[in-house]
Amino acid sequence: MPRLWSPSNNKRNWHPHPAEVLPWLLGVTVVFLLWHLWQSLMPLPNLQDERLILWTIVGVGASVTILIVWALRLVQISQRSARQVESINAKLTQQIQVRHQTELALQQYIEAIQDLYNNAPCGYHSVDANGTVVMLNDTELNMLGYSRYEVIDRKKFTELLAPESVEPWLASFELLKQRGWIKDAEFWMQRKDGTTFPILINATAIFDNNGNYAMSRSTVLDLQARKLADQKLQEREAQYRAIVEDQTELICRFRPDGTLTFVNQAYCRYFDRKAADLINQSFIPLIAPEDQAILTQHLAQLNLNCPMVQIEHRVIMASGQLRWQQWTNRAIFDDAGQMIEIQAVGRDISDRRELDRLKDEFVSIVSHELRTPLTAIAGALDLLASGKLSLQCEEAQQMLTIAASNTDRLVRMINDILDMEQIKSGKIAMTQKPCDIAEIVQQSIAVMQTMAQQAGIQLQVSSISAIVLADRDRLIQVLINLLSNAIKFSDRGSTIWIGVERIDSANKLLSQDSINYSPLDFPALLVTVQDEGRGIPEEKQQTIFEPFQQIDASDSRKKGGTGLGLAICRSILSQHGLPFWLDSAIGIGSRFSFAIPILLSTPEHFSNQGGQLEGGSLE
Amino acid sequence: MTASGPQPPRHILIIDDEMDIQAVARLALQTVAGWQVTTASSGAEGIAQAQQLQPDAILLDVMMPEVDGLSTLQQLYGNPQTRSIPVILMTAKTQLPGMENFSTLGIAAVITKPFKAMQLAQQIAQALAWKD
Repeated sequence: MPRLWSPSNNKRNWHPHPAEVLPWLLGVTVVFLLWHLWQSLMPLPNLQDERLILWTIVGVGASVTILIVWALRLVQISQRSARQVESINAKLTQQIQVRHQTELALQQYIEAIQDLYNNAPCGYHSVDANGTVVMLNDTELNMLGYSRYEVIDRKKFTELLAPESVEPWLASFELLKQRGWIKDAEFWMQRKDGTTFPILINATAIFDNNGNYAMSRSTVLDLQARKLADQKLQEREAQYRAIVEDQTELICRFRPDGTLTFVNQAYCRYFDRKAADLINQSFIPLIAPEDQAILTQHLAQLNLNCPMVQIEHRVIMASGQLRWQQWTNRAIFDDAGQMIEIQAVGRDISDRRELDRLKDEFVSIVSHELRTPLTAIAGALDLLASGKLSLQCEEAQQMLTIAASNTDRLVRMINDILDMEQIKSGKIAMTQKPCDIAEIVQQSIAVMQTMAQQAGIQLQVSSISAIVLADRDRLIQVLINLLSNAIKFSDRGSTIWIGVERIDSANKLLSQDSINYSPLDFPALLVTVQDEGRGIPEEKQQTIFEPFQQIDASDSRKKGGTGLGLAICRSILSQHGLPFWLDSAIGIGSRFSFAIPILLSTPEHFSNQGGQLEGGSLE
Repeated sequence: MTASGPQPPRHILIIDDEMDIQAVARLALQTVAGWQVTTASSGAEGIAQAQQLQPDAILLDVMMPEVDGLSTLQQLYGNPQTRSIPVILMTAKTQLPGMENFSTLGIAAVITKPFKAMQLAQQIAQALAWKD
């Protein structure tokens, strides 16, 4: 604030006007003259003279009165003048204040504009008719790395451009001068350090009173950040695209009429067509004609409440071959609820269909196998029921025996089939608990001893005792199946060996190059069932583990087996994660083996010779 | 054919590897129809029996090990001595591949297992148009 003159200041520094002093001087002069006249006209009065005293008092009184009146008048005049001066001063002060505030506001406005100009998020510059830069804001200077001094009036704008942008800019500069504006023109600028960056220029031309181009007023946007963002966006899109494109699943989008609007690479690969040949074409002709109606029917079900539908149908490949596909179709609706497109994800299910077919075939084979014993049962029972046979006669007894044995076989077969299906599909969980392998072997032999004796076959056991982690009943089932097979395919008078021995490394297992070896913890037990039977031909040694794969098609009937024993053994051991394999030679015999890790070793050992056990009992 | 004296019973040859089926079929034909029955457990044995015994008809199982029913059939038809003997096929499969072509094989009929034992003789007689 400037220091202003004010009445309060007046009190401390008073400089009286000459007009104000004059009455005082006049009054003093008159009193002096009267006093002098009194002295000269009259001798020194006698103080006793009363008249003199009266006159003196009157004279002095009159003088004093006059002087007081003068003084009062002068004070009045002085106060009025002071008030006038104060009023003028106040007005002046107000005017000065207003002007000062205006100037201040203007200054602030200019500063704000300059600030905006210089620090705007975009570059500003002006170029004169020669192309010389006459104005440039800080932002653009910062973009370029130059100082103001280096550019203003010294550089042509072309010198600030990347070489490849000079010609295009000159062309648009000409356009600016003619037309008066440039909108969204992209160029590359060059920094002082030589690096370049993309920019977007918008410019208007300023013309003088004669209509001649004076200069430009241009904004410059640095596009580098935007380009980076675009690039990131593109990268992200590429990622999503890759997810869609790298899918082995077929992905497509199509309009309700079947016209394809998008297909992924898997789709193109699958049909061996190019995307360009598929887009904007209907996929309906790719569908097997007999399935087209079902497809149309399914798609017609799509609505807002039911936006997804799964369809299985056949398609015609480029080779003309038919393949099965499964599609999950999801309808996409617009704001009005109108279905605009369908997004579909599909896969080839020909293999699954083939498996279904094989399963059907399997069931068919099973049913055939079931029909043969059923024929015998039904026939025997039919004849018995006819009453034409006497129940006492030998034939009737034979019929009854046949019916009974075939019924038994049928039951076993049905049990085995269900068993295997359930083990394979994991419907039966193996309850693995610590159990003694010796006890498992004993139990199995106890069950099979009678059958072996009837067949005139000797069972020889050599087993150590050790605790293993297994489903005891299932492991017994494995051994019973192996023993049952061995007995069926051994000649009377031959021997079957059951062995359990400790192994400490995989060496012994790895020597069996044909086994399906799975990682095993050691020490482990090697459990074997070995016979002196006819042996299994090499070409059958793998397939023998498959359901209904006997060495001879008639084995199951002749030997009373179900054709599922080994398949069940394999399923059980596989569920335990144990390796199971076969060594066999024609005419010498077969040995089925599996290995199981030892959980805890026990010192007991038992074996039998000629059916008698040592160190263990089968009772 | 003239009715001169009592006719000898019909003679049927059953070729089936299933001993139980053989037994049931044999009893069914003997007991119910009073026919004479001979059995064979394999195609080779059956062909030999057919040649030697010249039965009135052959009941032949399709599914047999080694020489199956269809091979046996071809051999029977290929042999002048057995060519004229009518053959009836037995099968446990209801939908045997190529079953629709059985008519072209020249066989008399197809009987599916399980069959009704009491009606087996009647089925065969009908298929062969035997009046007796």
